[in-house]
Amino acid sequence: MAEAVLPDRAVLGEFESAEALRRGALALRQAGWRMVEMYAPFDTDTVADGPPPRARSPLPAVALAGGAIGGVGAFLIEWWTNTRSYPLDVGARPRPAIPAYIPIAFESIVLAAALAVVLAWLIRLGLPRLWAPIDELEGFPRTTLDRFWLVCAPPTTWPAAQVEASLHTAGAVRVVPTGRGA
Amino acid sequence: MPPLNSDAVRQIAADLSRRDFLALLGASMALAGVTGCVREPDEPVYPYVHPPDAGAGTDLHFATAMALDGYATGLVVRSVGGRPIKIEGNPLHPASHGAAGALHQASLLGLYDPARARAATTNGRTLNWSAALRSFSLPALRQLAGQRGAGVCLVLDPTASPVTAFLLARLRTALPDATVHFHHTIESATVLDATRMAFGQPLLPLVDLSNAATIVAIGADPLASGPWHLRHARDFGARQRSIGRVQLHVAETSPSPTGSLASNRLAAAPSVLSSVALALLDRVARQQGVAAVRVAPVTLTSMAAAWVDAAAADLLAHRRASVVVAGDQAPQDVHLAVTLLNALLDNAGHTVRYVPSPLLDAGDRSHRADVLAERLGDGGTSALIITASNPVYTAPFDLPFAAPCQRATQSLYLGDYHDETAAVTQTFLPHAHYLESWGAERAYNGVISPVQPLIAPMWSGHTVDELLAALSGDARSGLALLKACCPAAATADALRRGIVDSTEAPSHATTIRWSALPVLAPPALPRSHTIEVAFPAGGVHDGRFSGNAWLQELPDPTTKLTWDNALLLGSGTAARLGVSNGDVLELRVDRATITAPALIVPGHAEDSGSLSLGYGRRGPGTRARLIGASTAPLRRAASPFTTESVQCVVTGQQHTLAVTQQHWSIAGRASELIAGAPAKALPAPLYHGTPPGHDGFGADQWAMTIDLDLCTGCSACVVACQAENNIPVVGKTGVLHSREMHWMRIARYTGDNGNAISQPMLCQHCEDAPCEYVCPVNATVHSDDGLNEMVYNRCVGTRFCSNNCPYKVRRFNWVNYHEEMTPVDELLNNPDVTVRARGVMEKCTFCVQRLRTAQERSALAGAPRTGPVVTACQQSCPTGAIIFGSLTNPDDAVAASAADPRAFRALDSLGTRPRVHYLTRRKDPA
Amino acid sequence: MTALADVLSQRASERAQARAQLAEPPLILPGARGADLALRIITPLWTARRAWRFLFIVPLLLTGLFVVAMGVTLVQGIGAWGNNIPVAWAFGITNFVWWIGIGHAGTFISAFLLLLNQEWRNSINRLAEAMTLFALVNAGVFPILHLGRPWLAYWLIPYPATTGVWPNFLSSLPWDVAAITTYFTVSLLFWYTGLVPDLATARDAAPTRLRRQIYGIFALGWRGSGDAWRQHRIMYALLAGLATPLVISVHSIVSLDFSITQLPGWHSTIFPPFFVAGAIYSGFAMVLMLLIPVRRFFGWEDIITERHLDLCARLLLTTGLMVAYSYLCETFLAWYGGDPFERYALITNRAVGPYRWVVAAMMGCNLLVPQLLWWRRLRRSPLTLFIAATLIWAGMWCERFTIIVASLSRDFVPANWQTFHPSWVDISLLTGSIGLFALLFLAFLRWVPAVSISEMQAQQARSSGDARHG
Repeated sequence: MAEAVLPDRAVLGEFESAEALRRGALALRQAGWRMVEMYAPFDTDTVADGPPPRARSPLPAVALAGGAIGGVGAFLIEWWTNTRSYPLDVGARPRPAIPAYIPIAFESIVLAAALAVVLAWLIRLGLPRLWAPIDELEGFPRTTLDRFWLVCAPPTTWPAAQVEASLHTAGAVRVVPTGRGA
Repeated sequence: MPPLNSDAVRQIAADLSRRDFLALLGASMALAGVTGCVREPDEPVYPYVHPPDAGAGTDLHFATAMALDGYATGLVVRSVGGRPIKIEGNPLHPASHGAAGALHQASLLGLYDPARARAATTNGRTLNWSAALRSFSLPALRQLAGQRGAGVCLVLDPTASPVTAFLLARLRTALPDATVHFHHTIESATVLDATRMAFGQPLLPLVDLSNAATIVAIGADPLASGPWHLRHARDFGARQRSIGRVQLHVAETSPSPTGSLASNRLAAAPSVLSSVALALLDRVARQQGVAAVRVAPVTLTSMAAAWVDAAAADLLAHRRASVVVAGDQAPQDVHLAVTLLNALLDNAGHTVRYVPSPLLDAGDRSHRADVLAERLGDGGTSALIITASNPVYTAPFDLPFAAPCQRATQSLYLGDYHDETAAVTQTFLPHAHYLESWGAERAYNGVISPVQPLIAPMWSGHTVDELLAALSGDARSGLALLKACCPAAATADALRRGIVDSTEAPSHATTIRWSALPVLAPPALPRSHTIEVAFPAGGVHDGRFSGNAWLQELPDPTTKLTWDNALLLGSGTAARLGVSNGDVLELRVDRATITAPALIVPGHAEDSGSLSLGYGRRGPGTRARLIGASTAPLRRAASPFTTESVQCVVTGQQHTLAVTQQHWSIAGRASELIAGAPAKALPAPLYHGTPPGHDGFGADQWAMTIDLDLCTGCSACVVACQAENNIPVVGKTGVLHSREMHWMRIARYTGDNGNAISQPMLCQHCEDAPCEYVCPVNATVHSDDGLNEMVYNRCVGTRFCSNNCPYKVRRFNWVNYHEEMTPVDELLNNPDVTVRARGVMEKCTFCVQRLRTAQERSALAGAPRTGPVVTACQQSCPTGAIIFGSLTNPDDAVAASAADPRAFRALDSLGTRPRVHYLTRRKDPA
Repeated sequence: MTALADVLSQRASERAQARAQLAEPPLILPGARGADLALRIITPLWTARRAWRFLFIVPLLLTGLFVVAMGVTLVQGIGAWGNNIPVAWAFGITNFVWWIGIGHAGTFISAFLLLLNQEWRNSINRLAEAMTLFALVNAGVFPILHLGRPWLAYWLIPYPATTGVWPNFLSSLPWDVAAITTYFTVSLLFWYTGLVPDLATARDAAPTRLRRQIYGIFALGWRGSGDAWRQHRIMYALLAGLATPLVISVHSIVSLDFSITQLPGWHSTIFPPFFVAGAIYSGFAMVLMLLIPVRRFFGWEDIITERHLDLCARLLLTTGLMVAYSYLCETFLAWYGGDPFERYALITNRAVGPYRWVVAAMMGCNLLVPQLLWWRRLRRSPLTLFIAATLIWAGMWCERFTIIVASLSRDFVPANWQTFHPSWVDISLLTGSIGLFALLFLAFLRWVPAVSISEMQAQQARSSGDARHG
């Protein structure tokens, strides 16, 4: 679900700054528009004053699970190999030697958790995905440099001109219909 | 001789048993044009009775004897698959009693030395034995040197062999005018002259330390050098164990192993030693009220006087239970004084007996260097026959061999190597190693030992006996000659046990001829701005072992010097000369000069230096070319072992000396290392870890004790360990990198006044081993019977174990040390011990191969182990300082020894719980 | 996780307070504004100056030397080095500890300072993380190379072998394996995931098709949708949360290689904190050694400002004081503890032993030099800072050498005492590893956005936004 599902009426508006986009989006939402998605060169949530919205994400849970599996697994391997599978008298040291097993168990927690998080992140964003329809949008590549796009849909089916006009008033420098519907 | 077809050998050896490999190796040699090949001798040879390690099949022990300077030491040689691989002492032999010295054990390496001469040559042409001898047949000699052989001159090593005696006598009857000479290299006949002067007949003192309470050694090292030193050490050890500390007074020039045990030690220049001996004689005589002893006034330093007082007091307190000994190299006046002292103290017949020398023509003029020099100088020699070991190198400055050899019409040399002597003689014959020879030898006390071969001659060598026989037209082989000349030594019983019964020399009743004695006067002291230089036997003896890598790399017991000799100096003299270690000095006598690096030794006598014999070889045919300094130019036949008035000039050059120990002070750690508090509640608990019996070996709990009161530092154990455990040599550069591989290292700590203590340092087999828990791959772990095990093929070489070993007894294979081994070198490897590869750690295993063999044998027999298991070091230790065994076995002495009040564990405070215990030195009675 | 959320929610207010308190110039000077900031970071990737070629020459030669020295070691064995008994560890492990320590500053900057919401990290975290990675590459080489039988290194990893034997987890070396592997992996992930949006920028700004394709592949198709940014933000915060304890643990474990033994000079309980402080100390020294020439070369004085140097210098001084305190503790406790072996190893041997000159260099560089940084003027003078950093960087190598070699060369039994002399292979491996690092770092500067564009843009938008509000 990398791309939001576009309703027929959806249009794209290009803005020149995060601030402009934020204000435009606010105005349109008050006008009953539906916000679908946005594109920006950086994390705009962290720009506005006040805390960024709590984003729903599976990643923390995944990290916890990964870490748990890694840590417990590593500890069991250490314990089993040195005390059950092939016990040896090593310098007359006690077996099992729990404290000695801690460092590797800890490192394994971190390793497994990190790998799980990154993997889950890729899956969640559907990456790698080298091509998407929106890439065909003329001028869209500037998004990663200094352009901001808002994908939104008017409350009802309006004539294209009215849609464009209201977006412009909202601050968009350019408006592109999705090519569906009108 | 072309090199071995070694590629083929390696490739074939890969998939063949050792025995087949030997045959093939032999074949490859034969192909390469060598007559004869490696195999067991054709003749019947008789295994040693009661082999200590009675293995089945190809693992056998044979008794034989090795003669050095003419005196035999009985040995037991272990042979596997037809290869002699380990030399041990013969417990039945009087000169050994089961011990073996470094030279004896290392002589094994000489057998396999690839540098050994491999073919007979005449003027460079390779011939076979008989062809080479054609021009030395009796008719040829008569025709060349006159009917009575007036022009024939034989030069032999001193020998006591009855076979040689018989053959020599026969040759003399055939050529009555031929002259025979015996060439002495590291000992002289001065003792015989002294006894002749005292008793009227030349006799050898046979010292028995087993009931001596006081020992006075003047210029002598009775416990570590000389033909009888193993027996001395054995008796001394037994005595020390039974009565506690024996009073040992030593006056010597260079610190010796014996000196390191002395309770009263004096460092004195050779000339001062004579004065000391006379002063001691004078003192004892006065106390005894014997007026017959007339000694000219002697002036002594206060230290020397104090030493004399103490020695005299002890001697007088132990009449009949004391003994005075002089060294083999001591001058005649010292020997005379010593003889008189023993007589005055009534020691003769108690601690010292007098026996005729077993040497052929002992005391005769044929033993005198000046006579030989005269004979060689007169130019009348047309046929010169040399069987002495490389006299061109060993002879002193004024006994020139080279010129006469070249002058002689015919010259023949029977030698081990194409050495300096071979270079100036026309006909060369390869000499058979004693492990390849049949014969008979006599010990210092006259006992006859058969010499039986362990292996057929590898390089077509022959014995002196075979040569002497051939000269008189007798082509018989060694065994036939032995049977003919000394049948008693050829009996199966003699061959098994290695001795011929009731052949011991009878001791003579002796009476001093006081009236005939002159007034004894000390020699004049040398000029002050020069030094006296003594020439003791080096680690390679007189040079005959200079190609022996084991001996070259064996650290000198005193200086820890390897791969070199150096002029040893006292610190005071060094300061006076303004030299420090490694500064090269030019030593000048008359017009002869040599250069040698200086090495400062705490406890060395001032105004004198010591430069050991056997180095500075210039000839071909040895790995040791150009190692060290040759002493010949400084030595004079009149007094071959000391030269007075040697001028020292600092050259300003530097020479790097490979010394294995850098720090001689114990840095205030004596209480932790050599005099630890008695270990508490020993030896419990024997064990913790996996339950005993886990791997079937839990019944025994191995441990070792080492008595620091008995360790002289002689280093026989180091060679024993090296031979038993396939330990490689690393060469001078390796030593300079401090990468020696010896599992047994003898640490030596010296005090300010030259007193020293030697501490053998080997794996301590800690119960709580610090090396084990740091190994990431479980390559070093503990066995149920308390061994710290090293699993070579599991080791990845992190070297973490060495870092965590407080004793630093682990050795690392920095490179592939066995790469350079030729197929011939490889023959001496002990098949029971893994040859370690590059990159793995190794260390003392308590000779685990011996333990496991014994345990498996008892398991097979289904009976508990009978008799002790001995480690190689313990077996070779002359004084018996090392005791090994199982703490749980009542038959083994180790438990009792570990419970001795003197027992302690090195660095015990670290909690490593070592299984090696040291017995600290007893305090000297105040 | 809630704690993390709180941290994130606190950002705005904290930010306002922070800037109010600090009467400091802004982190980004007015010069760097708008798209041209991004372009200034991107364009060097395809408008390289000729100077580049010459810069690569020396690192390439040194790397060649590195390869040769490694070849000799592998063919001949450790005998090619100067190591001996008792000094069985020397240059190899010294270099390992030194390099892995240097790596720590990178993670510290990117993870620690992120969680602590230190905005100034945005200008330098990319460089610092790259430094970490390349330092770890070197750190990874030495432990394997120093084995007697390097081809068996995998025996330290538990796998079902036919022998049935496993690694011994009582030893700290398997701990090292886990620590280094984890540290390298996490650092790589952290660096790369942070890099993805900038790679997308490079993809979209690249002049040629080939470049677009290459950067496009590495950008994984990043488009910067709002959802993607949210998930990225959380993933990045989680990685930071994991990397922060990791960076502490790694050098603690490395220090255990020494403190689990009983060798005087190694057997010490203060090692973990002592080593971590030393690691970050040496790391910040190297960060400065890299920042100062880089900002000059690219003309980024307005992106990496003197204030950045100042802040790094302060951290250098702080960690330097921690190290000084550790030296003090070590020496004092050796004396106070009264153990004769400890006293000898840590006092006598260091004062008058064969390596006293190395000890002197270590003291001079690590204790005296940082005291210069008390002066603000010096903290803001690039040249002084560069020289000081270089001295500290070298001083920390001397510290590792002293701990390892000086302690080993004279331990319990005086008869075993020997000194260590490096062979040409030892020296070549050290200089060669520095060359390899330089090579990798130059390649990074040449082909990867060396400053985080997206983070800089966000920071810039914030400042402009605040400017508007305030």
